[in-house]
Amino acid sequence: MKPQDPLLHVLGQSVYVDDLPEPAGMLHAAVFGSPIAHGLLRGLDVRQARAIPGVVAIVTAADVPGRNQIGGMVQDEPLLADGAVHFVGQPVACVVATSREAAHRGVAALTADIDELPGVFEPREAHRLGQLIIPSRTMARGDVDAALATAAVVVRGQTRTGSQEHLYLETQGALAVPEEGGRVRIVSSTQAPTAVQRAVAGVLGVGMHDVEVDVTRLGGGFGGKEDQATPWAALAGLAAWLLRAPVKLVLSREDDMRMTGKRHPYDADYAMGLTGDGDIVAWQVEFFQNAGASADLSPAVLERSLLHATASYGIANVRAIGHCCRTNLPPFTAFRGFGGPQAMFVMESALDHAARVLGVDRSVLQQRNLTRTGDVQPCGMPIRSDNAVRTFEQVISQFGFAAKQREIAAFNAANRRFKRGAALMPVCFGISFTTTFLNQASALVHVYTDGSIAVSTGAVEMGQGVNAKIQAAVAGVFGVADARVRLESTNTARAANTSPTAASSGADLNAAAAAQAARAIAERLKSHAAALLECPESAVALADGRVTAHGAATEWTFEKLAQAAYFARVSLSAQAHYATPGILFNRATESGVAFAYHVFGTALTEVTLDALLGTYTIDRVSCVHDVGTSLRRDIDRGQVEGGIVQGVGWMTMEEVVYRDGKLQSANLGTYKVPDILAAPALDVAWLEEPNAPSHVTGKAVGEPPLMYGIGAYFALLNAVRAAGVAADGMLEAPMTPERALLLLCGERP
Amino acid sequence: MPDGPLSGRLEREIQFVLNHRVVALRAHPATPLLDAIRGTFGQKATKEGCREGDCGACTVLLGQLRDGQMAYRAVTSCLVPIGDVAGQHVVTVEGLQGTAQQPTPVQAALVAELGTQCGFCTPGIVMALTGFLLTAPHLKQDEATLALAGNICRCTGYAPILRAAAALVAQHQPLATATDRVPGLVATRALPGYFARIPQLLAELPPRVRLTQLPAGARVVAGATDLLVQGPHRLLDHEVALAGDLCGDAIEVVDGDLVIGAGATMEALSHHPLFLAFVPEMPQYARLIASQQIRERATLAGNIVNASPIGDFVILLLALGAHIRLQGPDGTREMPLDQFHTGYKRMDLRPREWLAAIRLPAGQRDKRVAFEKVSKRTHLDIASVNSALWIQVDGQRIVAARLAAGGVAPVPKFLSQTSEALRGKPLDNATVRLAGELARAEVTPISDVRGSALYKSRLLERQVFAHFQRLFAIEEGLP
Ligand SMILES: Cc1cc2nc3c(=O)[nH]c(=O)nc-3n(C[C@H](O)[C@H](O)[C@H](O)COP(=O)(O)OP(=O)(O)OC[C@H]3O[C@@H](n4cnc5c(N)ncnc54)[C@H](O)[C@@H]3O)c2cc1C
Ligand code: FES
Ligand code: FES
Repeated sequence: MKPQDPLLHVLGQSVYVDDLPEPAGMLHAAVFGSPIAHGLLRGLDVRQARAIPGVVAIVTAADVPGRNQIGGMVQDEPLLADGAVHFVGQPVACVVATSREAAHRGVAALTADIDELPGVFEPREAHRLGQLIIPSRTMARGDVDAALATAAVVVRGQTRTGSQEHLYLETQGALAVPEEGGRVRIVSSTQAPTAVQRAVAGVLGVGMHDVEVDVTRLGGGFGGKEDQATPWAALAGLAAWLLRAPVKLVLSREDDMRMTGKRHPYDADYAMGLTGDGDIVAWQVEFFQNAGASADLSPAVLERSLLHATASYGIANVRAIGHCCRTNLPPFTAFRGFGGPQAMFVMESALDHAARVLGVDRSVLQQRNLTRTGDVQPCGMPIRSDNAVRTFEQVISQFGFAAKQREIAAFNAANRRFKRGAALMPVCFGISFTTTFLNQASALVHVYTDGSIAVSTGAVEMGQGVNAKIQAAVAGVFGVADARVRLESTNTARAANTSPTAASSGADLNAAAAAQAARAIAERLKSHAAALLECPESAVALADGRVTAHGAATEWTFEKLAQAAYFARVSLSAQAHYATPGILFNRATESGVAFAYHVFGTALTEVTLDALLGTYTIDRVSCVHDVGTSLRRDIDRGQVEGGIVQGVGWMTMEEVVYRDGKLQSANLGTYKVPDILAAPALDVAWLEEPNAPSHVTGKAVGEPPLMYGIGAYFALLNAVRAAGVAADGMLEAPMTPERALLLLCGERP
Repeated sequence: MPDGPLSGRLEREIQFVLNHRVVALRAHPATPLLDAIRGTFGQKATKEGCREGDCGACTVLLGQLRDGQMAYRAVTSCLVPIGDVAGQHVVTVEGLQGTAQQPTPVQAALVAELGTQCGFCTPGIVMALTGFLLTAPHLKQDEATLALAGNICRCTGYAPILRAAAALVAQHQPLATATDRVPGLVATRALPGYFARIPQLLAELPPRVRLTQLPAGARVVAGATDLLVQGPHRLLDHEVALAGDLCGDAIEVVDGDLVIGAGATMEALSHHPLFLAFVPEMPQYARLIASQQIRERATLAGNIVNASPIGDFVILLLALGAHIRLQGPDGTREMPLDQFHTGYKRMDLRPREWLAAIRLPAGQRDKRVAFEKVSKRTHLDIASVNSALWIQVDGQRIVAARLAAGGVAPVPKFLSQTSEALRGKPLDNATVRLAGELARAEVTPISDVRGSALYKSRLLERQVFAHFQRLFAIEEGLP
């Protein structure tokens, strides 16, 4: 029995980058980041730093042998600042020393000569100044202007959502080892080994085949190690290459928080038109995305916001406009939900607004307008399911929404100081990379002569259980116990040109590829078994670790068959490639089938507010989630529960505070994520779907549950209103205790 | 390992028991235990998530021989100075000796419930739960939750960890009443057999040195929960004196007054019957202060001398009318705590003087005390504003009151004018409103990451209302 990841974790035997045995002569690197948000870099005074015992080298842009460029979607991101700095924390130099402590002392002793320039931190201001990373985009359907002009009710307003720190518990890091023949091998904590490989090759001016990137596992990613693991791996690779010595670069928590991007803050304008009965007839939304100083993945994040502009609702007349605004903050990046949550918050805010105007409960408008089969998304993709309605209705019945609302009303009538609130939150989330070409994966499967099986794919394990799902899929094909299948580290030498493990599709894509490769071998094995057993191939199957013929077990164990096949010179290895069928999104026309499918669900959130102090508890989140026919519901439950709590954090206590471009919430003492006492009680129920379309591993589950967290904001808003406060101004998240109290006191911050 | 330029001269030989064996190293006494575990001893199961006591990934158990019995507590090893570990038992995940075939019950429960995803928080969770089994008074679920309140998990949403804890609570109920849980836990394999031999190993280690004077230029390091957060490099170039070698931690009645050794920890004080006579609700309030891992280390002296304007105990002690005893080359002097802090991070502490004890006058006992703290996250967070009201009433009239508040001034603030104005006032809504108004007028909050000045001012007023509601059920400021 091979210990699986959870067992290794509890035994303390799982190895993360910083736990790797340190090669002899290994050096430590630390990064000097710009202390200024925007300016011209005149020079760097390295004299004091050089004098520190243990400091070996100070690497700057001038030392880059290849291209000083690591931008993925847009080539606008230098590895090390050259001539100018664009955000506080932007890497300017890398100090390499014999110990981590010496490297940090070296960083502290560096001073940069920078002519400060005015900084821009707000997306609306950047938009006004024309600082856009890509031209603004519009996705439209129907005739919004006409529909707004004739709608019985029109509400217009603005919203704001804040950033969110990923707070993967393992900080960013990499260990680079120079190898013979000018190769470099990098162990990186990245969701995107190929992106690291490409960037390092470019920086060093070598071929991608000269760079090997290996990933065993991540101590959390959540999108934060999709593009943003690259600089640290590239710096370690560069230093190792220059110094011909192994170099480890692991960011301290504070450096990680200051230097890396987070969830995009969004400002938005909305206009919603409704009939007198509450049917939404027009939806116009304009997103001002704070992209930070360079593109990173911002254009793709914005694209997903546009694609989710209508959230879970079917609306015929839509215009969604997106601006990708360049500011002097760290490049904001992928984070679970990837622009979807921001778009959904705007929609729910507008519904809240409309419900106030119409004098109905927000849930009434939600329910009326849920999307269903036959609706068409703004991009033109048809909705092929009624699961939005089904999950909504199931939540209402299974968790007794009506009774709860009565109970809450009674509680609020009886209590002056404490007020309860509840809110429903439907989620409709598209699965696939919106960048069509990323929807591919490859896998390499070996069956060894002892019947053990090794699988390499492009999927990175970061706790989401992708390895276990791939393992189950492959074991299923061979009819062996899961433990017979080992998932190898993710390595660019074994899986090339991989897509990042992201967009909730790591399991979808890689398990499909792995199953395909496994099937190729299984077919060969079965045909060999048929010959051995002298029966038709169609009568042979692999089950319970044996060969069966006509449904009856034979004396051939899987192991014996593998060995026999080997001696008969049958290939026991296969490589397969999988490309998601049926998706094609055209950016020129802003239309197409952007997703393989949608995942649906609805959550009910209940909260209690202390109307005197503005503090609150998020008491319970109950949801019905659409996961299809899952291979591992236990893993899926973990994804749902973890996603909800992260989403609740984003909407409540997690507040990223910058002042003049400097991060004020730069450590765990000032940036708070939910702890065990803050986490709500969770009820996770599944939507049972008789004829669910089959997926190898069940429907993607990584991102969608995060958006249930949005319900916490609106439940709190309801509780604030139960205290007799109108709360009719601009809605701004997170709802920190500060915002709640200022609302309760009638103060405008 | 840190290799500061000056540290060689400042290093000491330190011996302790790491898991099952005695180990020795030469190190600056302020070196974080975590660095010794991962660096010097190469045991990588214990993880570094923040180096500031806020994530719990580095949680280990620290055991001390007290009156012939082992007393264990879970601590964050990133904030424990190695000098304090001398003569103690350190237990890491490796030391639990679970195996793939035979994981400990804690490990098995976490696997069964999938209470681990990425796994980075997991060693800390394993240690916190093991510590819970070893030390929780009643082995109840809510104690397990509190024991985990210092551990951040970003992946699971905690639900499966709570399910694992529930399973452990159920399994281990028979041990709840045992005076020494070690044998029982060895029997369930939650602990390995060598635990029985630890007292003997520790008894053979050299005893702690005792300091009678503070060496010139030396910094006092107490729990180091503040100092090491500022960064070890600030300490490693200096000589330090461990408070454990310098001051006592006894909590005792002397001439009727309560005298608290400056080395007493937050946790020890929070549950001490003599202190509960002053603040009966202290165990509940303590939940709002740091985490169990931190409270087990943080001292009262540190809370006062770090001069944070937002310390929690210092605010309580100000309201309680505490006096402090300073000791130095010229002997001992005493002053009211409310005279000690003179400006932002400035105080009346002379060279080579240290805080030796805190005295609560007998007359302050058995009055009413209320404490409020509001932070972004309710637990394990520094307050936006905190405040405490000590009040003595005669029927419906206030005889004397002391109000103190944090986060609203450059120092932990005793609100002398508000306190004075309350004297003789009737207990009614008008008085409560007046107290809120006066308090707001007496403070000068600034806007920072913990809230805007406007918020803090409003929050202080609301806390004053909350005090009166808690103590006298006077409802003010409610919708
Ligand atoms: C994760 C975390 C959470 C926290 N949460 C809270 C909280 O909720 N509420 C709160 O109030 N605080 C909190 N703190 C802050 C800190 O724990 C307290 O201020 C604590 O009381 C400091 O005590 P210590 O013994 O660790 O002090 P140390 O860090 O050892 O010392 C602090 C200062 O006091 C000096 N000092 C210590 N003892 C003496 C002495 N006897 N004589 C002279 N000088 C001395 C030291 O030289 C130093 O300047 C938290 C800290 C952490 C890391
Ligand atoms: S490393 Fe986070 S508490 Fe020690
Ligand atoms: S399992 Fe990833 S942080 Fe807890």
